[in-house]
Amino acid sequence: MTLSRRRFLQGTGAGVAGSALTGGLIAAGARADARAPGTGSDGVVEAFPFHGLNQAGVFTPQQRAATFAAFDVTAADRPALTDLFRTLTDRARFLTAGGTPVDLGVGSPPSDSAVLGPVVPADGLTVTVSVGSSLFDDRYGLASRKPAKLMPMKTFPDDSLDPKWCHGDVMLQLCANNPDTVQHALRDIAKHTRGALQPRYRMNGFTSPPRPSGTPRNLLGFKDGISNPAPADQLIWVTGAEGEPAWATGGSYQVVRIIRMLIEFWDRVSITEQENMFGRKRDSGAPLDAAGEFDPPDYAADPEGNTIPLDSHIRLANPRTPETAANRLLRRGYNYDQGIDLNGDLDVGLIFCCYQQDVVRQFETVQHRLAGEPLTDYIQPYGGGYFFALPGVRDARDFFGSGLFA
Amino acid sequence: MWADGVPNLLIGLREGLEGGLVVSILLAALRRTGAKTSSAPIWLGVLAAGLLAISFGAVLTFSRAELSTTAQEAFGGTLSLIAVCLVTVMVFWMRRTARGLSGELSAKVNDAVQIGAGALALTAFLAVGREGLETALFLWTTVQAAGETTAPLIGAALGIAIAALLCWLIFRSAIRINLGVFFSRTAVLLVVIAAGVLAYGLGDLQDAGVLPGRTWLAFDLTATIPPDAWWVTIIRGVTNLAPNMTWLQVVAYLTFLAVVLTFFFRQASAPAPEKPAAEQPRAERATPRLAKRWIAVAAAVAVPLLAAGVFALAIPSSQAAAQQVTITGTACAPDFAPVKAGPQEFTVVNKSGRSGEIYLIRPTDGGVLGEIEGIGPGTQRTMPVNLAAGEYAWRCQMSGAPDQLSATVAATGSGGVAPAAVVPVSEQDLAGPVRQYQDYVAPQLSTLATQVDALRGTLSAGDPNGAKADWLQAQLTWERVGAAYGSFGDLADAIDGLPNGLPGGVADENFTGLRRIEYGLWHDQSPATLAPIADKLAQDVATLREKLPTVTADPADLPLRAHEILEDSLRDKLSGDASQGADAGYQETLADVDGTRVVLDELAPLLDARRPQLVATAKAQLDTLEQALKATTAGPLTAPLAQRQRVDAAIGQALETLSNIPSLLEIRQG
Repeated sequence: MTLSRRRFLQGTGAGVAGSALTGGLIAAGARADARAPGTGSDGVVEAFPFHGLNQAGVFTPQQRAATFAAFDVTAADRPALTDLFRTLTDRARFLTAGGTPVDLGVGSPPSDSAVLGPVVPADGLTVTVSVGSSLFDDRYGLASRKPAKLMPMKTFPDDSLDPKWCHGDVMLQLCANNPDTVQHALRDIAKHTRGALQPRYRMNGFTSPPRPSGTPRNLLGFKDGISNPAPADQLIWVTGAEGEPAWATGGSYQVVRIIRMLIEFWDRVSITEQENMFGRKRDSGAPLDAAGEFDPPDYAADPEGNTIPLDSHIRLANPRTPETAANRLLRRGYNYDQGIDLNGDLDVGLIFCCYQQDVVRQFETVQHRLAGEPLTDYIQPYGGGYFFALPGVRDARDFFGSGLFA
Repeated sequence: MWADGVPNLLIGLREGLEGGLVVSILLAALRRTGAKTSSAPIWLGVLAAGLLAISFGAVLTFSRAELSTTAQEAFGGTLSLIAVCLVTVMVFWMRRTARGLSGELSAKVNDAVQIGAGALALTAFLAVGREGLETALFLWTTVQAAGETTAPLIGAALGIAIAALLCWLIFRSAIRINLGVFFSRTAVLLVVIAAGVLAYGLGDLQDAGVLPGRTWLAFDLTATIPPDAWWVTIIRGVTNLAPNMTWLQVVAYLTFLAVVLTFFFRQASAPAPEKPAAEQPRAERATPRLAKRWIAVAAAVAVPLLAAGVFALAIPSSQAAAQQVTITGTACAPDFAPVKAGPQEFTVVNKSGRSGEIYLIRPTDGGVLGEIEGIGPGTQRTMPVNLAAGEYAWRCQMSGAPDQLSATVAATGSGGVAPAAVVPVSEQDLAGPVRQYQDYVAPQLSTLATQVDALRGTLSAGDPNGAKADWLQAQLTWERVGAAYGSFGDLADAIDGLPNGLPGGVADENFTGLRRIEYGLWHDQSPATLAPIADKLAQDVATLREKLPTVTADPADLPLRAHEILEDSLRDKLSGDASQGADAGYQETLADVDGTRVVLDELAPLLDARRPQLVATAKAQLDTLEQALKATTAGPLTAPLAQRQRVDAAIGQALETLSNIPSLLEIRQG
């Protein structure tokens, strides 16, 4: 009796413990899944959720391939403009999820180019839609709804801007695991928005794999984008505060800067000078006063700039003081490579892209601090613009800019 | 990579030894029952079990190829879990019976011999079959885990070979091995491997979305562990552990190891069961009759194949239903059978000895839903199509044979979404529009001839400005004719050819016609040098007027013209490529819009019957294009960006609409 009772209690205990463990694991796993994008068995993310309060492609870990395509809107009127954003939403929703393209039958050319095969894979695609200040001119009666800080990109002292490569009504940031997926998405979107959206300029970008580890390197050979704010810092998404229109909540200011890198010149510069310009070691990415890539620099211990020069890039960009904490921004840049220039030098550089809550408080403040930094001799910003990444598409019935056009 | 072969060598050795030992013991026991009993039934059972295992493996491999990635992972994960269960049970069974193995089976054989040869075969079949299935399953999962086939299979084959050798040696009593020690040591290793397979299988199920928690990682060493290092390979190969694992995987792995090993050693420390004394087998004659033997052989072959077949049916195959239809010498798709609504994939086999077209149609109005064009004799092609509930038939249009229809067949069920059907157009349907087009072109060419004569006049009068104006009028008339993409052959090149593709470029003597005159006029060449070119142009126009009835006779060309005229404008005129100096691309495109409108009007009745809104939509979009073109007096090379964008957007939109016309009006009826 006692024995069997003990056995019974033991068995019950084991059962309860086992059930609790299993249930807990499964419930916790389900919660983690709900917050995370879909990952394949090889660790490469296969699909990012399209619906949400914020758009994908901002905090999304950087995919390997991207295109930044600026457009001007040629839609005839406000209803046509709204149709355009509904179409953009439909295409983005399909392309980011993947699937079998619709069969239009024998009475039409095929609906899909099949450059990704007969079934379109999501392949980690994100479609991030932003609008420029020019969309809020008198064409569509949107002037009163313009985000408070949205304006045309300024010309900074070290810029050599080419009007052909600047501004735009709409910026599409398409990112995916592979370049063919990016190109397919752009081609599909262009086909479906023909007549309402006309390309203005575009630049393809790529990120490099970790070499050999850690943060990817830019084409100057330095690890770039080591220190980015996290979602918890609340520096990226626009809230209802600071005079922003209500529809803009959940959006973010996007700055795109197309920056040529004069790599031939750069490669003729001594390593000490290169490292002093960045403030980081080239091999490891560590600050010049530290050992590891992710170690924070200790500027307080080096007020004269003996170790990390006062005009080095990392020191100017982020002085790491309490006063400058709110200036930090989320960088999401891509390298570009498009052949050669007139003199036979490689035409390569950086598509700098960053997101922030307030383009004046963040990007412009940092940019002003960086004015005249030694690095400017080796880079030439010549294109880009200020845009406002729209709030996310909440569900299957919502569409890009639904609040803006309401 | 050879590390992937190690666990399989162990498995092959282990399973081979188990199955083989049973057979060895059966054979040995049989031998001891008397020399007159045939060992054939045992070998038959072994053969059947081997067949079952092989077909099982084949089904696994084959059916996996038909599964989607998610289903593959779900399937693989489930099988991994089954394998873990089988191996675990086996480990305990082995532990319990290792020492009593010989005795237990000898007793069974004794019973079996009394029942008959069929039972003997079945005992061998069950003994080997269970191990065989297990091996196939386990091998399959480790092959999946390893991601490659060669090393695991070679490892397994080596293991089985060693096992067979050992069995033979045991059978010959050449060696004496303490089976209990052997099994208890390898059992621990097998439990560790099984724990790895459990974690791997759970990971698969999480990837498939069957279990949650895929993203809740316990650790992720993918960034810090070099994936190609030999020690990583060995650890991964033997343990099935990955550099990144979810919490579920880690907890399941550790729990499994803890629980199973605890029980295993607890059982091991318990007193071993008394080894049953081997019964002396009685010599008893089994006399299998011939009929029974054949039944046994048939069953031995049929059972595994049947099992494999049932298994294959139970696995979901690829989503689209597949059906084959045949074009024979006398009939069109006589084998067309009823289908379920939804995605289909038809394989059309042409056994008619002719080439031709086959259409999947809606019998009510002949509307075409799918087509395979130019299917050669003796070839087969596939056609994916989604069918809604309704009636369908095939129409075969083979060269030199009358059109034939198949029987009408129903698609039943819900869920299918059929593409828009297109009522076929015949050559006769297009005869009227083609005639109208010729009636339109003839007076245009007459106008062109007059304008070329005027151009010759201003050139011979030495008036370059007058010549420029005359050239533009002639060029615009030519645009209105609607020549596009070589529709008038060499004559079009002579009249309006570009210097592109000529070795000498603009200086090439074969660069003639309107563009050559434009080049001369805008590059300060004297009117006198251009006069002979204008004379030749007049001749070429005259020749075209003569040949007009023959050069525009192909009715299939006209629907193409509906979008190709403006494709030409986009490619050559709006890009500025065609301009030889006048930068008149916008005016030329306006004239091209006129030409497109003529074609559209001629085709309108056929289009309205097939896609009612198309002509109206296209016309509205052409209006938008015209407005955009007329909004500036500049040419494409000098117009401001906003102006260019307006034109480019409008022509792009119109082309997307117009591009449906050739598909809609393709000749699909003989």
